[in-house]
Amino acid sequence: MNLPGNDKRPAGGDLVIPLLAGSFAVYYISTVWDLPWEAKANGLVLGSLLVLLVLASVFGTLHSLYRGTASLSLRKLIEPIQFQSKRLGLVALMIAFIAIMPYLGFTLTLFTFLVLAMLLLGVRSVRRLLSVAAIAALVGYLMFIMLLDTPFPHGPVEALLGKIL
Amino acid sequence: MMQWDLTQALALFLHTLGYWWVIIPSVLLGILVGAIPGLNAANTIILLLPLTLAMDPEVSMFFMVSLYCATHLGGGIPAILINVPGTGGAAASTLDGYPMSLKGMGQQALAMSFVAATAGGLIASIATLLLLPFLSRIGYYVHSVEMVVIMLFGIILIAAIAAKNMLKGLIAGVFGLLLGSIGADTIYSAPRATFGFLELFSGLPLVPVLIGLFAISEALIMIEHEIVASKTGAHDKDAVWAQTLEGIHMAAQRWWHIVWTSFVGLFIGIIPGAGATIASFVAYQQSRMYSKTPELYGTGHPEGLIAPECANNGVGPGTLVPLMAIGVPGGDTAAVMMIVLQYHGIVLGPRLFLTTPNLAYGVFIAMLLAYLFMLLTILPMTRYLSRVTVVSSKYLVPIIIAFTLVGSFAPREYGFDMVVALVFGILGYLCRKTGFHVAALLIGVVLGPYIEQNLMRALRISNGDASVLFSSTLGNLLWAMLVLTLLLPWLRQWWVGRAAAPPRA
Repeated sequence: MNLPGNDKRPAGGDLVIPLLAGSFAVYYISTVWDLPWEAKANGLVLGSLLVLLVLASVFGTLHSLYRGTASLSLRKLIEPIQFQSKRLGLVALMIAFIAIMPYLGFTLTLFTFLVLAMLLLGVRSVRRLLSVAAIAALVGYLMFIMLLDTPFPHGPVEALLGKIL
Repeated sequence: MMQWDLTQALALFLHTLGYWWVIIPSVLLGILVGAIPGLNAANTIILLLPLTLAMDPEVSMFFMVSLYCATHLGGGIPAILINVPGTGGAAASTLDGYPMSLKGMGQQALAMSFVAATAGGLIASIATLLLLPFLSRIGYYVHSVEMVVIMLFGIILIAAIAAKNMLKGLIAGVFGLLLGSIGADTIYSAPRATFGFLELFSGLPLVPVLIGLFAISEALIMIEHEIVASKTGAHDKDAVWAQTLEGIHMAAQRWWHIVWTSFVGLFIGIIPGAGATIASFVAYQQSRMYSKTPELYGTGHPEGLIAPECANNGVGPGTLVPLMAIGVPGGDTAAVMMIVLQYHGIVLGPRLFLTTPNLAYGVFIAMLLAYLFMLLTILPMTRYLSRVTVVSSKYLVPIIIAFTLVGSFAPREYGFDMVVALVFGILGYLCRKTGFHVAALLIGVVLGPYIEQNLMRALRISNGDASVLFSSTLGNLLWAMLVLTLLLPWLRQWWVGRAAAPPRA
């Protein structure tokens, strides 16, 4: 049964998690291979089981490809395509958020992240951008720094608010 | 152990009621804490430890149990409204709660879940009080072998629940179990699959994993829609009190469902280590298995929300049974409570019920009162809470990401944990897009360390003989149930197919 291109099930995306899982299982087994049995028994059992399940999944996909009912398209993973740039932008902002916090401090980083993320997602009103980010950052400061005393990195805002409050 | 006598019970009830000034603020704090992913009863009690240790033992215990119960209820709020469970126990509530919100029934779903949760907690508290002399013995019969089977049961159940495709569910579950086995082993402290990170030596941190899999991945999906409820075009913009009443009515119509799923939670809660996450998924699966309309589960079916909520809240009283009766904490919050009680010089165990009945029984009465107060305080709020689904995702997504990322830092105070949340956020996104259920992955990560602990204990007792796993009657019974659960969906499908097939000429 060979279906036309567009009618085929896009199975490429379905292979991503099994391949990640399979690779991790192989890595896990490689790290426990030389350990005493007590330290590796659980990993060997679970790792082998996972590899078997992954092989079953890959075999199923290959069978569908052979029958012509599926394609290796990644459509399922990337559609709707128009949101991918925003999604990648958000991931980049999250990486920047984590990396910059030790330098700018908790509150200023939170404020900056919120402004940039809202801007990326399409908020254009400067008043709204600044007010929502400022209120959220203040709530974050009150909850995490003042109330729960979580040791987030301190920056200029914490120093200033610490003197005022 | 003390036998029940009505006058004494009434005196205990009134005595505990006198602590309303502790219970009510704890309930309100607990709902708030439960609704914020990354915060839970255990880490809040730890954060407030200086305050808790300074309190009188009874006050501190009533504070902790009220907070604990309320976090279970609070965790369901974001699970229903934005598909982000506040606590692990609320993960199963996303399966049908969130689809209800997408249909524009967020307010009904909240009201129904509050009624189910409080009824579940009340039923379990009352049942615990009545059955306490007998329930306290169950913990004696569950050993490492039974624990291994119960945990595998948890994975199979979630695979079956997730399973529009069972193979995908099993891959996600076993992948999670292996991820949960990252870290140094308990005997030789040899690092396993840590990628060279010292921060992973004690295993994957659960809160960042939960935040990544549920909150961040959902936020990455949410940007495709203007508002949360817009996926189906329906929303709660015109939320009215009638919808709250409708939710209450929907819960009341399913009173029997509430009763039996609360007992599922209670009995699983008694098993040390099992906890709310397993209980809610087991209740969901059992509910679907015995339903006349299993195909509706996952589409916003009321029973699919009631079952996990009742079990999630039924767990609370159950978890405290082994703690109070035999001094074995049933979960992380119970372990923190144990530390506080030990600080006050209180010896846990059967004698506690004879020496300090006000505390031993009072804890369960405090739970009962906490649930009563919860019902009164939370129901009027449903109308306003449900409006979250109409906040534009342009604002909601950055706020969810920012606050959950910092929430992942809070428990261990490692910047590394925010990276873990981000990595699991991307993994969760890939899972969601390709039909691998994130809940199965999460349950695997949660159970990974426990399954290894119990497997090792069983194997060491038997000098490495694997047949020990089939050596107990209760264990074998559980194995049989596990195999049956694995086969039942196929048998059912086969039976339906056979019934639908045209008769042969």
